[in-house]
Amino acid sequence: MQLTYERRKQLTYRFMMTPALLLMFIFIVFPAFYAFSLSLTNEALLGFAAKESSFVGLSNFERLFADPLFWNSLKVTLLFVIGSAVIGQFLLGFLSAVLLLRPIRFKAMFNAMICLPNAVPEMVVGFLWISMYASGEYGTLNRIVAWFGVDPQQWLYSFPLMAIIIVNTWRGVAFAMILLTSGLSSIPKDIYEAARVDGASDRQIFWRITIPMLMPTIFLYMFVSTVTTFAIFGLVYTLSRGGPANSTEILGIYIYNQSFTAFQLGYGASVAVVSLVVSMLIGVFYVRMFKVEV
Amino acid sequence: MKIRTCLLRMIKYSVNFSKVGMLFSLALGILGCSLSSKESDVETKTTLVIAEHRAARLAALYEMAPELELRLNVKLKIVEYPAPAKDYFTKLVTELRSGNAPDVFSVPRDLQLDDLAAAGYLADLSAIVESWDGYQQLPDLVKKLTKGSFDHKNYVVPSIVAVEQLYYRYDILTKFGIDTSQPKTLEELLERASQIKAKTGKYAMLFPAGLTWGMGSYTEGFRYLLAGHDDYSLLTSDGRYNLSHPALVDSFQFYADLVSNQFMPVNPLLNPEPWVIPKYEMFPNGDLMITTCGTWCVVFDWGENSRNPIANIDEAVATWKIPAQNGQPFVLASLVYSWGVNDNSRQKAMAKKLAIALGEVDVAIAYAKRLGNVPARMDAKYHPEYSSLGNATEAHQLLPEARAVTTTVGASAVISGVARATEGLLTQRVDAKGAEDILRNYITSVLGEERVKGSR
Amino acid sequence: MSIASNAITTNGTSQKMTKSQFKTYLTLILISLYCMVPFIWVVLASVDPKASQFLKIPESVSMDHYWNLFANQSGLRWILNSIVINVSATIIALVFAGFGGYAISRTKAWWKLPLLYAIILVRIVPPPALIVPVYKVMLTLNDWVNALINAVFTDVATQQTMSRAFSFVDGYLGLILILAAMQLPLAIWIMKTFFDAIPIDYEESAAIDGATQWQTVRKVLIPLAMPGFAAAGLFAFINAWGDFLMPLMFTSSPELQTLPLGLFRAFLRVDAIDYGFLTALAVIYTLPAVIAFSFARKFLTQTFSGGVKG
Repeated sequence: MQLTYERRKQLTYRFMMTPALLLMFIFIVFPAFYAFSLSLTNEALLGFAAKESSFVGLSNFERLFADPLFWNSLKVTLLFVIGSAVIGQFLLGFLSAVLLLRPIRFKAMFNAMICLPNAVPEMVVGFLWISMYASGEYGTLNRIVAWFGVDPQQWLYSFPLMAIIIVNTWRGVAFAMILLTSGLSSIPKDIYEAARVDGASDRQIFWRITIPMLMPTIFLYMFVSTVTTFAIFGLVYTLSRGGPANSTEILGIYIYNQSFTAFQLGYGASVAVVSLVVSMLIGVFYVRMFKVEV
Repeated sequence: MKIRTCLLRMIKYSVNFSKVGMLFSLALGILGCSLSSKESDVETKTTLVIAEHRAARLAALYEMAPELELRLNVKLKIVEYPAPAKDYFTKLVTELRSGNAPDVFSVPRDLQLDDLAAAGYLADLSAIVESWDGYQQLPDLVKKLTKGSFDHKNYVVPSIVAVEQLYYRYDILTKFGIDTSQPKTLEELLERASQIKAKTGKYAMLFPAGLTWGMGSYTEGFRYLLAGHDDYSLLTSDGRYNLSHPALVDSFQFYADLVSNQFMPVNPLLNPEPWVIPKYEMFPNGDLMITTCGTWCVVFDWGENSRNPIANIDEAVATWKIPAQNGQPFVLASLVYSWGVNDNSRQKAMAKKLAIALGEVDVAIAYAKRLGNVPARMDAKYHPEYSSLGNATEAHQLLPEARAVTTTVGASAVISGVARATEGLLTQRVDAKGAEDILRNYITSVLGEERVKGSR
Repeated sequence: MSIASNAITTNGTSQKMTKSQFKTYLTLILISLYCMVPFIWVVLASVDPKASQFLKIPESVSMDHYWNLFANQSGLRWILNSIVINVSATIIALVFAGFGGYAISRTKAWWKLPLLYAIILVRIVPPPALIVPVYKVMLTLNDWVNALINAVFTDVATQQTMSRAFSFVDGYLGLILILAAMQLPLAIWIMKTFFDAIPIDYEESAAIDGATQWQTVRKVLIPLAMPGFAAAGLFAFINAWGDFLMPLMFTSSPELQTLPLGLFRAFLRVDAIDYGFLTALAVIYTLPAVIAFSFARKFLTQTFSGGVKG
């Protein structure tokens, strides 16, 4: 059979697509759907169900929605995302972006210092901050607050959620800064000139021009950082492992604990389904709302 | 700025692609060599992989390994596992499931045995254990704890046992003229607690409870109370959990009494690491008079080398047996770190022999003296090093009359359920009946109604 | 509020430091301190012979901890394992993403748009949600591979070596493939964006000039898409290198330990933590990521801001 040039080309494209699609299918797409079917079973790593699991209908979900620890986890996740991605990283990133666009000295140095935390692997982040938060009068943070007359604290015990929010903010300032810098510098200068000629005040310029013009970038940032913060695991696992008393048990940690310390895979999968649905909703919302250009 | 660009350029030029490639293949090469060299010096001897964790346990095993190798004519490969018991168990279970687990490993507590056995991870050791001469030296209780509750096969070789009872501040109680005779029932114990509170003004008693204490809320607290009801078994004769029995409400009521009368320090138990303040600070400082604990406490928790030692501990701290409903106090025993064999082991026969060898008295003593536990076998008392166990030998002698609480498949649900229920009691959100509801509902939701007697 | 507009209008560059300038510097210094302080401990401890968990000025400085990394078997092995696994994963991700990104950029077939949306969705799947199903998938693949190995090789030693290399659980292959798969969505996206920017005329004119397909790819496409490969490769490497979840799930043998897990487990040995060794290792572990990030930085905005239409 003779193939036309165009047809052959299309076949080649499909062929080239295959390895990547296959790999993503096996390790991401299929497991994501498989999570749904697993969540309907009592699959486990221990007990009789480890040998032979059975279909249990929606009982995992019944249990899930009645479990105060699940709701706690959802709440902690929400606070973590809002506290670090939406507020902490964004505000500090925005501030840094704005200040670094001013004509100042040592720009590159400031830039490099702010970017450094972003490059550090999750495990090392945990390692660094465990030392920062170390309790007793020799802990780094305790020594810092001692200058202000504050007594030594057990940071990871007394303020666990705040502690991980501060760490994740630390890690993400650079990403917000880089993205917002590019957003800010793409706003045409003559708009500002024109506004100034018309006698607009700084405040007006900020709220009427800068913010609206920056909106697409802010939305992009919010989307990316929400989704990535939602997916965090290693950072919290190395720092607090969800403790103390489940106070930092974000969804990822909750899934891990249910699956691999309580060994209830089916139940763990049902939590995973919830987390998949939430992130997919965010994704679809983003794609539809902001007309992603593909 | 200039320096940075210069640096970047330098890195760019020096680390070009061919160099990365060279570095990569070099790494691959070294790794390949080390991999193949590791496997190529296979000797004629069988190599058995044994999992061990925690410095004290590793030290015991390293001490005994040469002797064991000699006895069995095998080579032992000791693999260090992550230290906290939870991490050790997670790693072990996931490896057992994926088929790359070590040949021989220890099962941390007897209550995990059924879950491992039911999953098919443990080799059936019935034949070799029952023909082993050490088996006759085991108290009946220990014999029972080595078996799967659902099929009565032997799945582990016991090595050491944890013996637990009540430890109290003898020095302070006598100073205040408080009766230190053995309380026989829980009522007497509560009566004693109220005396303590009235005369010393300190906290009387600690029974671990709550979510943050986790497994200990069951093993170091609730279990003591359950065992006191000798007409009650957590298991029905057909292997289900019996969750409709007055013993449960009674036991929860004891907690409720401790909390409402302020006999127990509640706030530390709601915090992370709940054991630190009551056990390592209040008890040694004399702010807490009675606590549940095992033989290891006098060595590791309050002994000379502990964080907060109690001076002259032999005189300062004494023990009571655990008061029981029938007025016959008892000590509580549980099998800890008994040896199991991987059912998927390639050298199962040899691995079983190793497990048996690990159950011998000299190995058990090497472990027991480092951990503050007692050997499982009664003939351990003839071993020359028996005296190195110190005060624990008294507890060892009590083994034949000890009590234990047997569980079956799904014990982890009982543990979490007790943690949740006692948390409710600590915060006074529920009463004893409410706590029983929490326990029953949780266990039923995890295990299913068919595994629970008393679910609605 | 005036900060933002000042930034853009860039007024007031007098010689004397104004109040607003002072505030600018002060804020930047504070933010920078926040970012830098945690690093001080790890750097100082790594050269301090008496390193501890606490920050202190070393009485004497020595590079012993660093030399020990290479003398210490496990440290060196963790480094090598990390290099081998992550570089392999990056290469696989790059090759597959190169093909995939090219195909998706050039095709006009009906599946183009749905596939692009699908890739965005795949990108935002949270990895922790996948741990249970992926664990089950890996177990199944692992059983297949080991059955195959045991069927092909009879010698136990060879079986063990092959199984170490090709196992999906506790083996090199599984970890490499899953790390590669996790980096693919972003890498394909980046490659697609870069191929979009290369006019198809280039390829066509090369073809007209008589170049074979392979020559076109090698002489025209790859050089033009080089920045794309660099960006995709750097991001794939940084993400794979820093990943903690996959090694936690799928490695257990000490021989297979990579840096993140080795460090974490060594840190869990509460009774015997060698802080000098661990901090030196943490510095070594961080360096490649920092270097890669310094190159990748300039691609960061391109990669993400391409996604929105105003």
